[in-house]
Amino acid sequence: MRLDIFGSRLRSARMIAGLSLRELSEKIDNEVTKQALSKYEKGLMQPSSSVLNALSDALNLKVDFFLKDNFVEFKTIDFRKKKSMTKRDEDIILERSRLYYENYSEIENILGIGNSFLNPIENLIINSLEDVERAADVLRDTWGLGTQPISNLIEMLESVGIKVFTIEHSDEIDGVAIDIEGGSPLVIINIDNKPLERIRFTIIHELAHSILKFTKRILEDERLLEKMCHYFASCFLIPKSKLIEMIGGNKRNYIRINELIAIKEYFGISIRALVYRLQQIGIITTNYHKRWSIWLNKEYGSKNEPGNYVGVEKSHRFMQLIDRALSEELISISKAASLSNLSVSDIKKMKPIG
Amino acid sequence: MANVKNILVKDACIIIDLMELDLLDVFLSLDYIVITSQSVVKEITDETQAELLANQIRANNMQKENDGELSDILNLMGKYTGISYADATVLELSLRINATLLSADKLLRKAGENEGATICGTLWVIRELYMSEMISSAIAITKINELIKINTRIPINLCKKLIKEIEKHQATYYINK
Repeated sequence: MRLDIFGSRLRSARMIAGLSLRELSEKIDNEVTKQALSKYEKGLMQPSSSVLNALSDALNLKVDFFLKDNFVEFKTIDFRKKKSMTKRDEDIILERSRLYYENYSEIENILGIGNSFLNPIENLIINSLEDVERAADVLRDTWGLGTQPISNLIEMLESVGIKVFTIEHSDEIDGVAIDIEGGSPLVIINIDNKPLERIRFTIIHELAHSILKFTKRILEDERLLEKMCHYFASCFLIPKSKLIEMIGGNKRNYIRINELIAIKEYFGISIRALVYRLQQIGIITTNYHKRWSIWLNKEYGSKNEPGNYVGVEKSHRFMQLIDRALSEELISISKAASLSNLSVSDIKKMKPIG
Repeated sequence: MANVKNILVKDACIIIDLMELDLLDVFLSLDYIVITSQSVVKEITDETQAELLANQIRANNMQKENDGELSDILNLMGKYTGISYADATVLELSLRINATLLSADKLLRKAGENEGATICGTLWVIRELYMSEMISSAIAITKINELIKINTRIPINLCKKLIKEIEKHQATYYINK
């Protein structure tokens, strides 16, 4: 047992629960003093199994959580959130995501599947919107996506080694991109009460923060950086060639809303993103784009728009790996429950592969 | 047949199997000392099942032992990386008190066998109930068929083998009678 890791886990679990050392000690009926808890957190003392059980009950986490040795270090965290979001909420999201990532990596290791990610656009330096467009095309091409719509982005990203963790949180956060020391990137997406096309856009926006290599000029200008990532999301969701094919390559003075609804419902991209893109590639003028934006806001409000994209954004890969490890008798049912944060009953009900 | 003195009801899996088959009560009435670990009890999260288990423990039909020494449990987890902490607690308990490990989990059973423990599973329980005349052959066969439905990972061939054994035993019983 790595005492330093146990200490870090105990501390993060306590932070998530929002308890001070004294409050935690009281919660476990003073079975462990505040001083002893402090020593555990500093990695100076090993707990007994009864202390572990008491901590696990008080902090509502499985004992296995405290014993994991594969502590994942977050290298860079790009949090896009509102100022009203508290540090504790931020910690909760990060620690839950860390646990998901660790469990995911553990099941990959058990199955002998690598956890590395090769960034196909690592050497493409981004300094303009044209660079962004090219990066999106290269990525689509390398991943064999062609120019067609991507029906389940999360599943697709996980298939190329990027992990996506979905959370349901208040409107204070859209997403987070995290680079992991020696591992594949992690994208955290808030799916609570958000339209599917917005979720899809945010996923790729966050991915852009993680995999695009921007010049210093862009990195130092936060607004420009956000604009670039927005544009990347748009380019990746619908390639330029496809957009031109659907809307026509000539300049347009007038575009009917139904044309855009059709594209939105096919490609899963918002009308606002489409109109902006049409302006960027010169199909419509800046002035017409502005008129469109004003009209959309007036007719539908700033967060709504017409059209309804129907799809699914959900990854099945993690549970498939759990099921595979169970079928290959590499993990027990109880271990599967622990890794997937499900109950033993739930795992028992899962039908084995084949 | 294993020389069973104590039985550790390991995994939540076998406890759940027996509860779902409605056989836990009758099983606990057999002449065995049934023990499980604190951590396994925590794995029964379904409210009704947890209450049922708590009642059995309160009535002393089943014992709940504190988890053993952490170093011993960690040692087993290090040796068998596919098992959970709760799994390791019952394996450690069975080895420490030299008792039979009752488990419905293939991997834990393998780990137990490797450690030299005597292992029995849900089918053994049904056989034992039938042989002790606590349930009839018809009920035993019905329960085996139910088990196939609720435990999708149970080896079907072993289930069929036990059904045949019970049918054969029943036929011999009537002939002798």
